[in-house]
Amino acid sequence: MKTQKTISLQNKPLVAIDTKLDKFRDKVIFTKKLEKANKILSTAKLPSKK
Amino acid sequence: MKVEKYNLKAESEFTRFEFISEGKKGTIRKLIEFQKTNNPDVFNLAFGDFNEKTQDFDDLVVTDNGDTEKVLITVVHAVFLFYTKYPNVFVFACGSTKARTRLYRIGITRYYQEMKKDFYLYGQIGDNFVEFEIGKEYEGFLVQKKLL
Repeated sequence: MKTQKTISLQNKPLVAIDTKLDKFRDKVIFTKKLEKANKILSTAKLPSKK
Repeated sequence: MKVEKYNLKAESEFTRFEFISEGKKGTIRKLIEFQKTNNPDVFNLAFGDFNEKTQDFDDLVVTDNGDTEKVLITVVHAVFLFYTKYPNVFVFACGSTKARTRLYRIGITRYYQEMKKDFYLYGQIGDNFVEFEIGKEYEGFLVQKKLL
């Protein structure tokens, strides 16, 4: 069964910080996803933090 | 094992990542958003494509660009990067459709052995989060970084 794979930690992708994106930081693009998450989280019992 | 993945572009606070998917349908701009929720302990992971027709991002589109695995591992790495800035929060993820939630489950399952070294993984069943188990269906997923 093809299920599990390992991730080479030496093969992490490059991440480039683009400060031009900072102006969008507080703008929510996927608003419906956020609404859905807030609805679920309003009643869900979170596990205690370990 | 080396797993090919896309390079990411991020804003300074690592709550938004972008990358370009390259596949059989061409290049597609993708956005990963870690959204603040009403619970300050939880960020929501949202993910979608830039739609050239509407000039907006779309989390319902089925891209079928032939690079699902590469995209999944890129999203997993965005989670790793996000946690370098926000180590004490939970990340919640829930697909916009059942099919997409299933895709998330497949992604977690494939990289489960590696992810569980660094994260506590939970699956959502109704109002409860239980420890993630391979082969079980969940409505959503919750991740917590293991602190050293």
